[in-house]
Amino acid sequence: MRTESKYIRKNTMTRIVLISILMLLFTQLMFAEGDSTSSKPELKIGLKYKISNGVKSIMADVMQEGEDKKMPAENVKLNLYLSEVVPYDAVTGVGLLGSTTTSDDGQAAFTLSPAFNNAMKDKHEFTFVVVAQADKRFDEIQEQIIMKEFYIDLKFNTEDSSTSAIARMTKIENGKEIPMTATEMKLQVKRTFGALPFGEEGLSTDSDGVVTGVLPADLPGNDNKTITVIAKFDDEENNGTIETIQSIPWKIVPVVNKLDQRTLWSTGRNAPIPLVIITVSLILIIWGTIFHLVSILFKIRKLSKTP
Amino acid sequence: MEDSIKPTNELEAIDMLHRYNQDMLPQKFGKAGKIWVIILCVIIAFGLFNYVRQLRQGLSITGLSDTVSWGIYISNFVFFVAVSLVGSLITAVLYLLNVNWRAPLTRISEVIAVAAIMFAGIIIIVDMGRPDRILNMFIHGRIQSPIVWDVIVVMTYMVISILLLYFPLLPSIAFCRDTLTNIPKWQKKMYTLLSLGWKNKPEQYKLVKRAVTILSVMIIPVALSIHTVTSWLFATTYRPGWDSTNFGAYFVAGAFMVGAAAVIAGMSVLRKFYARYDEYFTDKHFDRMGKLLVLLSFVYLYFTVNEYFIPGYKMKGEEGAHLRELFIGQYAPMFWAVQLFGMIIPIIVLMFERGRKPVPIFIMSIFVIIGAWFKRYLIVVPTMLHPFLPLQQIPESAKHYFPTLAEWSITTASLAGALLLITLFVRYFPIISIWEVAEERGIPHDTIYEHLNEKS
Repeated sequence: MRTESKYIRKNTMTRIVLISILMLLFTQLMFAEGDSTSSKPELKIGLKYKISNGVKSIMADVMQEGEDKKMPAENVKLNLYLSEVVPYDAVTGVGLLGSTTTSDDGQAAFTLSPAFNNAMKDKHEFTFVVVAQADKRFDEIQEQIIMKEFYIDLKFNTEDSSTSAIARMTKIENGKEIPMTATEMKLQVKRTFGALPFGEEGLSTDSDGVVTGVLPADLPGNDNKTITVIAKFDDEENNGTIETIQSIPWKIVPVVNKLDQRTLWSTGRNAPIPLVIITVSLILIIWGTIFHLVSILFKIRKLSKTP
Repeated sequence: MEDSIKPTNELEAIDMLHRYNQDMLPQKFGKAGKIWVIILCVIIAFGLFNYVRQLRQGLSITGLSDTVSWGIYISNFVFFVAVSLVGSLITAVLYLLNVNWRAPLTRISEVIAVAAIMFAGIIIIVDMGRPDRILNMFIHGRIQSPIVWDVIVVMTYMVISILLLYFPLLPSIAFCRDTLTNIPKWQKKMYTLLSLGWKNKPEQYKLVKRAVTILSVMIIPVALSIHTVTSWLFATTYRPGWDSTNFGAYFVAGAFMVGAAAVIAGMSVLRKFYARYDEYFTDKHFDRMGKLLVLLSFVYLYFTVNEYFIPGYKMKGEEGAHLRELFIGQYAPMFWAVQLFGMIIPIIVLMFERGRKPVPIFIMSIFVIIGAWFKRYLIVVPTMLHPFLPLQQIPESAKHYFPTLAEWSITTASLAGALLLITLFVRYFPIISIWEVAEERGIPHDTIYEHLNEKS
């Protein structure tokens, strides 16, 4: 009787173990199945446009949905279309304009050629479509942007050693040039690490589409005795920037580079001589003594070998 | 054994030497020792794991940012540099002052100094984030920069400390080589290699003594330089809390204090776990080290008052905002705890003779050591959060600093690494210099040369 109950207990235990293993395997399979049918991460395309000195560019920022946050999508092939996603039509200019791939940080840019400008010289508003092609990692996705073409004409006027920048902004409608009135513009001077604004804050164009700003008189110029002035309009509605950049001669010479002199704040090669002499002397004295001490170790070893 | 006990004849001297030899033989770890080593290894392994993560993912896994670019890694570096100063205090200063009770303490203080300075070097590489660029420091380094001075002086001090440990250790290594028989081959080989064939000749002792004298003189300016230059890393940077002419002296005073506490802690642990060590680390040693610690703490207290009272009296601009954070702001609990437990209470307790007994002095030295670590944190972090330029247009997270788990684990691993180095030294080498103790206790030189490494 005892043997039988022992046998039943053993048999029950075996069944429990087997069922547990089967359940574990089943769970694993379920998860594996779930993995294989999981959807690809979704792509997002952020588009901006820029017209700089008449050169048109479309900038794309492609991101993918990560586990916790968005991450750049690298090496994604992008196609740029004008108006519709169709092959290029040489007569209308509509269709595929070009292709590129995103960089490590998910960025890509299309710069439209002068040939495009010539072909489209009568048009001043464009709709561009950017398509991220499907691949093993992502499904296809497309995004569009409207580019409005405005014109900024930049001139300079010098009176009594004071130089003013005069920017006039216009648009073309029905073949006529119309000034852009009450439009906020920025006047800036290019500097090494950014742009310095000048003129009054919140400059708006007058009834002639003109803004004027006086350049700071004490502004240092570049090495080639010029400064670079930027007149800029941010088309916030369509996520674009239109700018005109122009370099003009400038009298004020750049600040003398003091790194060429022997100072505490210059480069290593231009360290003050007394500092170099003191430091090198100290290093030589102390390390010379250290080498002397190491030589004592050799003497001790030599003494060990003598009877 | 008290320092008043001196041998009356040669036989007694030989007997004393034999007993010292027997007492100083490195011993295998007991159960507590093994558990201690395992705990240290686990902490180090976890720290190494996180360091590999840091190498792969960069410093983004830490709490460091553009605002607080020096966090607990640099606090830890300054702490290690401070502790390393103990070698020069005990070995050099007390040696040159001819203090007649220092011999049993020299080796433990030198081991602590070597371990601390080695890990100071390691933790600074950890803080670099890109250690593969360390060569740029030498290729493009500017001799005008205190960082370059610090690199030079840390390396120099490390070499000098190793030499100061190694020279007096030679007879002890030879003793292990000749006496320990039932040991693995690698251990035997290590003793043979490191002993330089030491034969206990008077000429060899003469050379060792000459080297120790040179090193003792040389290590004092270098030791002062290392901590002064480390303080200049801060003082030459124009920031609230660091813009001080007092910083060099302040750092050196603090370093001597924590160094003395580290030696007391080391002595206490060895006395507790090794039989007969109470004959070498006597109550008198604790009493004298306690008095020394009180003296050093008073010096540090004096500098602390100067460092905080004068700017606190003026409370000008950003300096005032920084001090408010320390005195009554978010760092106030840590600031006052450090002053109270890391300085005031130890001073009060150690001023009494009963407070300088082994147990209370051990507790006070631990207070001083922990206080010293957090003091370095208070020097580094709050200042970084108070730049002169306002913190604008930066993520909210960059306006605060709290170390991440990875940062804590790497920092703790460096502390565990230093402790493991000291532990392994104690396991494989005599932690008390027998010949120096013998000399200090009046055993004639000839007897030492002839009978030092003999078995009883």
